[in-house]
Amino acid sequence: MSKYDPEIIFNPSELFIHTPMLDKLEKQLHHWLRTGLTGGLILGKYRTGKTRAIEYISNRLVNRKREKIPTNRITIAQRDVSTVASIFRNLCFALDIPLRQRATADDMANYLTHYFAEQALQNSTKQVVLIVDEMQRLKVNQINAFAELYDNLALVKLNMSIFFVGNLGSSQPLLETISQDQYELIRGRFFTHVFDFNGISRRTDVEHCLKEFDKLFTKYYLPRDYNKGWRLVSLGKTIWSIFESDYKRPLKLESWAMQYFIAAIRILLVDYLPKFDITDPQAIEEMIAASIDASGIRSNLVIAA
Amino acid sequence: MNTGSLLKKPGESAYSRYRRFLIANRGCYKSINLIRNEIIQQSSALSKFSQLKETDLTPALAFAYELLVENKDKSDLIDSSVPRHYKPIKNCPKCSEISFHSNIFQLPWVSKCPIHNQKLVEKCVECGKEFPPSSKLLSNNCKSCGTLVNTKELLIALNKNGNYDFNVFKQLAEISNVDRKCYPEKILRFYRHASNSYGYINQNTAFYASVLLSNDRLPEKLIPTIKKLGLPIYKILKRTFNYKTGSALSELDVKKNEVAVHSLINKRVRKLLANLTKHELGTCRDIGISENKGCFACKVYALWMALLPYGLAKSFGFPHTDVEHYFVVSNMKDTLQPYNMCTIPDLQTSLSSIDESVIAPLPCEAAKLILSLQLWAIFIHVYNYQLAVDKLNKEGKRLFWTNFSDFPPAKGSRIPLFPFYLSLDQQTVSIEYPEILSKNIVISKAVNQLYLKPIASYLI
Repeated sequence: MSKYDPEIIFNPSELFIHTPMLDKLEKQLHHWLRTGLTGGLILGKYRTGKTRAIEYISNRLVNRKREKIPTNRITIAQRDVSTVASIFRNLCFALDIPLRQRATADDMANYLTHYFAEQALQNSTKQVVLIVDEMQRLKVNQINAFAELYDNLALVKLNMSIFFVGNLGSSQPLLETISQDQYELIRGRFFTHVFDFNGISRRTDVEHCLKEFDKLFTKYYLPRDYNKGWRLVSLGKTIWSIFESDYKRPLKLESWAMQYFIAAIRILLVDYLPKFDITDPQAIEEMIAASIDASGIRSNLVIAA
Repeated sequence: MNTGSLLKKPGESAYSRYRRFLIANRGCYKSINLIRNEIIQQSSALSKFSQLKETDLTPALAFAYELLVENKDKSDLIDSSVPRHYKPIKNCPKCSEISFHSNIFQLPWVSKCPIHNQKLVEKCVECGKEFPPSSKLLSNNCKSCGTLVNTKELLIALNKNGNYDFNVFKQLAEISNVDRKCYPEKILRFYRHASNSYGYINQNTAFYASVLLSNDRLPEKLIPTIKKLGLPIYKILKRTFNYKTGSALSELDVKKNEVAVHSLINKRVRKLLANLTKHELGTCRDIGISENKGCFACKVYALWMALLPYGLAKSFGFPHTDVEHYFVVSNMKDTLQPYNMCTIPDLQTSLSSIDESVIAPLPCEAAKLILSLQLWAIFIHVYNYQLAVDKLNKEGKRLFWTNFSDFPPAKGSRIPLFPFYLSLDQQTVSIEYPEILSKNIVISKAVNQLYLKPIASYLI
């Protein structure tokens, strides 16, 4: 399935919409990397698109000389065993490293040190990035695994930046633990800089995303109206006002999570708009409200509450 | 797989490269074959390694893989020939700790590490065993000479050594051409493919010659480094010709007839040698003179024996079982030509029965000796000696000569020694057995005088 296949809209894991927050995060990461930060923390609520954003950005990080900075990603899995070795093993699997069955933590640390070092040697600023997703699943002692890799590379004057991505709510226990004095070393390395990753929080954000939908899908699902010059982005103001009045305030949401936003727009664009009159403002408002409802935003919050 | 480039240093050997490859992949391989299969799958350029034996495979494969990852031009650099008899390995104890080894260390005359100023050793200071050959590295768990290295300790050691300039090895390797091909075996030992091998030997002898000539020929900034290697720097006190301006022959009065002279000597020597191979000559002692320290052949043999422990002559120089090795002068010629020291008839071509593929190289130390004693003089000497022997044979006194290969270098074996004598002060050439040679060779004050005599006077 090509990227611009209109059917892609039905495949949530493949559909990708460029958002303003994405640009902001990319800019922030570049800023951190160019200032030589050893690590950072990216926090955001569930379903705001952190992982997709990281996936997208990880192939785009460059240094001041526009050389690509090799970026590796690891998603921490929930396991019964919370050891440093399990992190190394997790990393080896994530990086497709052919592990010997009885490889020790030392063996794995050795391999990973060389692995990251060889990547860092590929650019003139000697940088390599590791992004650790779902960091809330880490135990505080496991962060030492990353610290060890960082230290090893620092010994030979190579720069490893480790960015942790976590859920705002469930990361708090770990962050509170790290804030204790005994973990100052870890905190100082990786957790002094925080980026808040939000979903859609402004009308302009909605319009930006709708423009992306227009580029990719509107002409396929509303070809006649598209040819007449109609665009989905023209509904941006209405969509935002309905979300704000009916969902954001009553449900006390800080932002519109990307998953629900995309689901709502998908339903609106594919299921409602082609079947009903898009010139009737009243009908459109009803369609928008129904789409947002159908996206699951409300039920999710009810359960959460 | 990792390439091990984190531990990369300028001027390292294939052995060193392979060791860091293994260190970088420790914990993630099960056997050499698995490593091979995984790497070969990554590029068709590496498929030829599937044909190699396991023991032949690894250093070349590790190198090829590194090139592949670094996207360098693979076609020229991936060489399937690899060292197998790389023994004994000499290394600096400190360099070994940081998984470094240089081909320079394997040169027999190098005794010190120029970086750490440590004496080179053949046994690991940690485990007390000989440094393992590349085929045994995988299973060697010594921290200092094997692959079981604690990464952190290694990196700390590496960091401490960061101030040292390992480029000196690269510089030296460039001078000596030891890295022309990746594998040190080729520079130290006679290889199966003569056309590719003895050239390297000679390039290294040329390197040594350059050391000998340090006062004149080496860049001044290199001299301290070469001293650091523990090389003895000989000073040639006096030359009988100006080597800078041309060949020895160019200074002769018979310059106009140079070609004719050369041709004449060459022709005559070929003929004599062809005859000599039919007979057996005795040693110095056999022909009634005391063994002399100045005897060239004695020295060559002694030096050759001295090189045996380095693996230089074990298989090819004076093999115990192989009978196809000869002393070949063409190596001397190659060695000295870059320095315009002399022009030498190529005796090898005169021995038509000798298979060129089994020509043994002249040991580096012997080349040094020849250089220091001025080779053209030796040739005059050889020529005259052979004339004398020929004459004696004609008179019915049988003197026999045979190939070195008929005398394996086992203890107590008989070794043919040529009774040549050159005085070590390089100023005079004297013969200890005037009853044989007095008619043709006179005691000379200077080597050049030999040449200055009409060539016809040397001929019967």
